[in-house]
Amino acid sequence: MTRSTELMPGTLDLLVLKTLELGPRHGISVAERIRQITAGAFDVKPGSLFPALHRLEQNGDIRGEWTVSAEGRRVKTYRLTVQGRRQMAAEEREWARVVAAMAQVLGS
Amino acid sequence: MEAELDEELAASFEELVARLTAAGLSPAEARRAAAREMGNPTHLKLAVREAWVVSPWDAAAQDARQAWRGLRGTPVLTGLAVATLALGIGATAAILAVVRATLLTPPPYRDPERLVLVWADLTAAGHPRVPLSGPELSDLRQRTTSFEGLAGIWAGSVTLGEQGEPEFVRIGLVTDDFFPLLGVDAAAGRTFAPTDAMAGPPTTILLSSQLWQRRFGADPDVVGRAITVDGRPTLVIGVLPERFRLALPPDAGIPDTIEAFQLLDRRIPEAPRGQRFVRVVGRRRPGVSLHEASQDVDRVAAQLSREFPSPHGSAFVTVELGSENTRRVRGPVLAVAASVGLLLAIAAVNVLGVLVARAAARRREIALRVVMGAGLLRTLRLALAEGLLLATLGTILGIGVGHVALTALLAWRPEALRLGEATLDARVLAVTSALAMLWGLLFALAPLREHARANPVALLAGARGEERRVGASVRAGLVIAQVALTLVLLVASGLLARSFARIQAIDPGFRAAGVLTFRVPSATPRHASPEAREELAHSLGARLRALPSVTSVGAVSHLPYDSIPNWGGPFSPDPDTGQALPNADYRSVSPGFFEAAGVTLLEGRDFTDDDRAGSEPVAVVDDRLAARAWPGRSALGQRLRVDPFSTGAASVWVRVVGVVRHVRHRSLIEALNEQVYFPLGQAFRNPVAYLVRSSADASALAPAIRAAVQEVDPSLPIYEVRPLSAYLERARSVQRFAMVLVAAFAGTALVLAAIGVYGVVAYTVVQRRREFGVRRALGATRGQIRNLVLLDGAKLTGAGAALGLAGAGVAARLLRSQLWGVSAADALTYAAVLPVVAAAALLACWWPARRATSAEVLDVLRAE
Repeated sequence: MTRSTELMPGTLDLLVLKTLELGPRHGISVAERIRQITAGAFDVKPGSLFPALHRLEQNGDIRGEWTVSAEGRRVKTYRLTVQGRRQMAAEEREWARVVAAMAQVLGS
Repeated sequence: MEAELDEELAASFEELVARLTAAGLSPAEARRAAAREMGNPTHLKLAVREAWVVSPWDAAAQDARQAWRGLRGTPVLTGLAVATLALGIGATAAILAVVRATLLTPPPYRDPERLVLVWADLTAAGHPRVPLSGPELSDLRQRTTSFEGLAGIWAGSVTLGEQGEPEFVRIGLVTDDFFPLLGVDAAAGRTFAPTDAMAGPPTTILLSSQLWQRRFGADPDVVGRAITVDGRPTLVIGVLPERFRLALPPDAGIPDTIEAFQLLDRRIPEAPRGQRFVRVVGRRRPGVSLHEASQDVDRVAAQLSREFPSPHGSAFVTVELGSENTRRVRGPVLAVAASVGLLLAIAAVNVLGVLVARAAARRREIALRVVMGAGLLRTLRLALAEGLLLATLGTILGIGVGHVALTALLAWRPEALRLGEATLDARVLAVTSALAMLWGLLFALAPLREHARANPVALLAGARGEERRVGASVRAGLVIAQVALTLVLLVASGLLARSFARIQAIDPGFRAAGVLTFRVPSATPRHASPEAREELAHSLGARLRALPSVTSVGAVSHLPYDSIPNWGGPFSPDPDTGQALPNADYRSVSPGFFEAAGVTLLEGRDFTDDDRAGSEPVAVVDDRLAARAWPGRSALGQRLRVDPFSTGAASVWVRVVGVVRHVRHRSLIEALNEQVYFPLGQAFRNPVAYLVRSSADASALAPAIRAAVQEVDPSLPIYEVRPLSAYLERARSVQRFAMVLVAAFAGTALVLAAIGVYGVVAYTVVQRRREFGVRRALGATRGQIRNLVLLDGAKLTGAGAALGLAGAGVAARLLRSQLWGVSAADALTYAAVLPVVAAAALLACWWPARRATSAEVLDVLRAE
């Protein structure tokens, strides 16, 4: 059984953007992907996933389209926009700064 | 959008079910598990909807909500800021309403900017503004071309009788074109017509709405009916609108309390040229400037000087009605308004200080927000929201404060200020709110400086030295500004108080304490002949003197500082000194007046009952006239040519039988004209005021006095029963008003500044705890630590005081026109104000200083 970790506020957006970097996905698939990559450390529930997706769409970082899934079901898939790609890069840099700072504080 | 969300969530649910089924769950189990995973659909949708920022309004609402949460998180600071702001805004709103009512509201007539007043200019005789004579008005009407019309008004009084209690009423005597010229129409009936003057009896009267309601119960049938005025049937032709008021400048001598109007005698163009009593209002033709109108009038004056040579010549001044109205009150009102402006500045600076301190305290939080991805724009928006929210709260509360303040002001207004119409109307509120929002913007931007300087990484890494330095200079600047502004206000208030004390110490030449006054007609239809009038005065005087505790009784034509138009005329002594014909104030008095009023008789005698019509005309003069007319000699027995019957020429010879001390009866602060007193028996005036001096409480005499008047003649109206000191108070009321208000503002400012100093010093102490702990560990005594903090406060206060002294010097010079008997550079005021500021600042530093010393070394170091 894997231990699920509390997500820090603000980090979810970066995770979602990173997940969509390699190609469009629908909501459930985004959550699944995050779980897989972090080996179950981050289990994003729909309750926080969907607000995040809609927030990012509203900011213009991702765009949602109705498509048909491999199994033939109608789903809403999201893909990264050019602005989203820039935003992701910026947030990655910020994150690196936070990590460095935190590391300094923690003295490791 | 909503439907699409439902569809997306439904699809996602199916997707989950499909995956769970594929993982081996039964369809029923899969649906249950998927539903658990999706959670409460209502909550989910709510959360998503929050992410839809569909309009700027929604974004603003979101910012406002977050700002509100932020402000609520620091309730004490927020409360302090809002309360301070509300005080400042409330005071500003109230004073703006006053400024608007007194200075910015034009006279309530049609096209008021075209209305002018025309005065005779007798500057050579000491009178820059004198009413015109009947012939002069008539000449101006015929010979000028710049005016649509020129109308005249004078004040008088009548007794309304027979129906109900006899009542004394002040009336305006006007030319028939007076109301059409102002653009005022009657609310019922009509105003005067040219035919009214031509027609024989009955005469006509126009009622004010107030008199119509009070005396006639708002009976519409009164119009067209005859009422009894001074014993004669008089036709009521109309009632004026309720909001009509006379807006003439105070020095026109036309009381605000006029309640009815009658026509001026149509024969006034034939009256003597020296009889100056008509106040003239003109309406310029459209397109004619004040300057052109003035030149037109001056041209006529030059003609008149040639045609009717007189010692002063003829000169007129033409002034705008609007600006003339505000001339006397402009100074005091602006002084009060300026101090409110300073107070608002101090309040706002205080709030700024609080916000900057708060921003400094929250720097870590902000830095965290920035690194967590909240963009700088979002931080700015939030700061803006907080500032505007504070300003809005302050404004809402401030309007409440302003309402209370204005109500209090109106309850205690000096008559001369005409504050009646001051209200917090839409415009006042709009200006106040705009001002508050400007401050809101500033509130938002000042802390931003702190935010922008914050280096997130360094901060989060805990570089403490940085934290202390940032913002300290801003806060110090704010405190210095506060102290400086407070000092300016305190100096202004001190100067006004000293000036008022001087005014209060002026000896007016009479003793007001212990005297009750009232007015009665000195002639009625029943007492028309000189003998009957004498009998009336005699029996009334005897009854009043017989009252217990009454020591003396006198009657006079004018009380000091009352609203009866001044009475005066030329005098020339025998032998003539050859000077330009001077003017004196005339007063008619009864025997005993000087004693009752407490006027000192320097030489000669008081009038007696034998100084009556038919006996030798006599007069009492004041010491200034005596010294001017007969320098180095006694005035007693000298002859003086005067004009008590206003013929326009000094034509009556009187013998001086007494000399009294000069009385400041028209202006407390200026010594105006010389004075000539006539016996009432020889220069009759109606009505008269009685002065009753009592050895006990004079006010308690009022019922007995009313009874005495009733006994003499039940038809005599008695009115304006009030202590003589009330007139004296009235003369000082405008100065008192300005002084008390500015003092109140200065006191408030002092408290605000003390809070400001306290806040900054206390904050510094908290930040320097570690330093103090180390110093203590190194052997510093508590006293040394305390002095360190006090020194910090003293430095700020000293800088503020130095700046404030410079500012006060400028402010005092601007205030000079409001000061009397005190120099703008009055050293005593400055010397008294400085220790007050120093003491307040020291007190404000004392508590933080004590806290600094109470920090135990180990506690502090452990907290690190």
